[in-house]
Amino acid sequence: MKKNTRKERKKEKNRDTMVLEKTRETSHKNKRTDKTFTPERETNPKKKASIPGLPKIIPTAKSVIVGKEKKSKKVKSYKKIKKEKSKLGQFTTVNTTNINLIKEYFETICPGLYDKLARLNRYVLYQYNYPEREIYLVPAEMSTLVRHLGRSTTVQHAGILLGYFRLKKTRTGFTKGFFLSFEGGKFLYDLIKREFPEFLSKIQTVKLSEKGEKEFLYGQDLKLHAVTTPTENLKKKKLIFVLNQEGEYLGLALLRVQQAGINKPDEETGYKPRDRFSRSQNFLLSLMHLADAGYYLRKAG
Amino acid sequence: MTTPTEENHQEKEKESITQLAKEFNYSPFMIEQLMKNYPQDYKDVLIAFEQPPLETIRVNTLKITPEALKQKLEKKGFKLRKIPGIDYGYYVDSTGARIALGATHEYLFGYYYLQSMASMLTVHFLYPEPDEFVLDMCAAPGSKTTQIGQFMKNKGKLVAIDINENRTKTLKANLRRCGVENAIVVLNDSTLIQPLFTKTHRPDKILLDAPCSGSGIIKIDKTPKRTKSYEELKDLIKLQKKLLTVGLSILKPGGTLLYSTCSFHYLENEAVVHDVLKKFTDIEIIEPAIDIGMPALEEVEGMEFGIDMLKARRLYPNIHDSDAFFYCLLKKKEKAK
Repeated sequence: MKKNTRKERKKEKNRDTMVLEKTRETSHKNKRTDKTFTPERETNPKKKASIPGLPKIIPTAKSVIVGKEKKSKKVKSYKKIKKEKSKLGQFTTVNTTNINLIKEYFETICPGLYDKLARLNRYVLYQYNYPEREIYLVPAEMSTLVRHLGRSTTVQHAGILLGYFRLKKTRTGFTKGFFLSFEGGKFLYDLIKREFPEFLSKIQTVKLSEKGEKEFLYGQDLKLHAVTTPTENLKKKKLIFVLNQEGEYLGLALLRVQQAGINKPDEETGYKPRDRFSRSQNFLLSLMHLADAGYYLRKAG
Repeated sequence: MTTPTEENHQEKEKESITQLAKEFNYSPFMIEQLMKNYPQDYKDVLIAFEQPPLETIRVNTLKITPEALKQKLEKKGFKLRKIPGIDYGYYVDSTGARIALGATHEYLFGYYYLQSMASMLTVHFLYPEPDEFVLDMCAAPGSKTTQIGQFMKNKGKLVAIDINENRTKTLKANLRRCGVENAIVVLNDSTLIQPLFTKTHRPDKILLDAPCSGSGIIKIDKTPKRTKSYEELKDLIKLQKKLLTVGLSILKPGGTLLYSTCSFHYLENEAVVHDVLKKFTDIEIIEPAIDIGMPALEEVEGMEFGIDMLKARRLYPNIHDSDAFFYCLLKKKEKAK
């Protein structure tokens, strides 16, 4: 006799799952008698306000049932993420590790620049952790107020946005790295021009043609034809401040060196057709766009 | 009891209201309100609201001088004419230019901000100065906040608060574009900020450009034309009163607060200020340092706001060729020692 209609089958299935959940609940309750279960974990994390951007961390029955080693590991990660959660959306001063990373980055722009800036004693570094870690330079006179407001409300911005912490690709994988923002670049360029002119010769700058300026502000990478200043001494992996013909700051770029492997060697000479700006027949050079003023229109609206 | 002549008069008025409402595509309630707020020249105001808005820009003197920007924009085909009384404001004629005023490289560099003359006047009335502590209670999208930064020359403290996260994104972008370096952006409801600004952190100046019906900017946005009744304004008025009360309570003794709206309804302007001032004994209305605009209304529909209300200012669309704005500068008295 065919007794199972679709509805009945569904009901049975529901009943089964309910029973499963009940057994899970009871096993969960039993485990609560375990001494290692801290009162902190006993509170229902579901009830706590969730912060957008992070997955909800709910200790499942599975995490409690597993063996000792695994259990401790789970507890650790839960605590760690909880700590991260509490830090989210807070405007706090930058820790030493991050300061060192920023310092390292400044060294690549111009050796000694960070120390000079620090010696000015005019700014305090702050970080805002949501949605990505943004680094702000806050004028020292505003610092007390920022700290005061940051304690009791959501401060989203203060002073100058210097840059971000993002994942950086390395040979072995990814690592946390600091990146200068458009405004940070402008601040540094203006600061060097105004207060440390001795550094002007140490930083990399290029001036673009009118057409190049337009393309750059559209967020495009550029061929070196668009650059009107000498390019022979431009170095790879060193930040380039991009300017227009009038010397106005347009944004930031890096020198990109690509293999020119696709071009076949000339049959007569045996050499590959050489780009006018390349320093070798095997490589093509271009400017890789990092940040520009056009993002106000493209992203911010 | 109404006499037959009074009845006749009322009927005639009703007729003219429905006729005007039809002609200009307003709700009868809005025509009535216009008649109450502009009893002498409501027809001129109606006509002025139909005119297209003039393009105006504010030169960001943090980054460039007005003369240098004028040269740059004129090279691109724009024609610039100075706004009388505002050194850094220009009327712009874009007919000869190939590019939109909001897409030039100069705009991207933060050399200017697209802002109406009436909006520029708000900060001009408050007149923030370098090294002061200024609070902007409803800051996004940031036209007035960036202007405050310009007045403060990046010195002092500027706190900009807004309740809407999406709008604070635009606010932040505008602050960055304009190179304002002394601003703190706070995401919060301004009606709840009283505990944040305690004794040691009281602002010298506060700008409260309150959320309003927008009836003064009908030239730009036609939706307020169809406001049907007082009920639609009720919630806004409640919020305006709450915000003004909070603003006045956190203001430093001796400090000033500018209350402004882009609405012509006296219910959102004079009536709000008058009602809130009943709660405070240490607040007075003061005359702004710059003599632009017309005195606010002293009495409407039998409601008296007092002679001091004449110190507040109103912009008339038919007279000042602008939006209809209301500005009231309030000062907290110094505490007696």
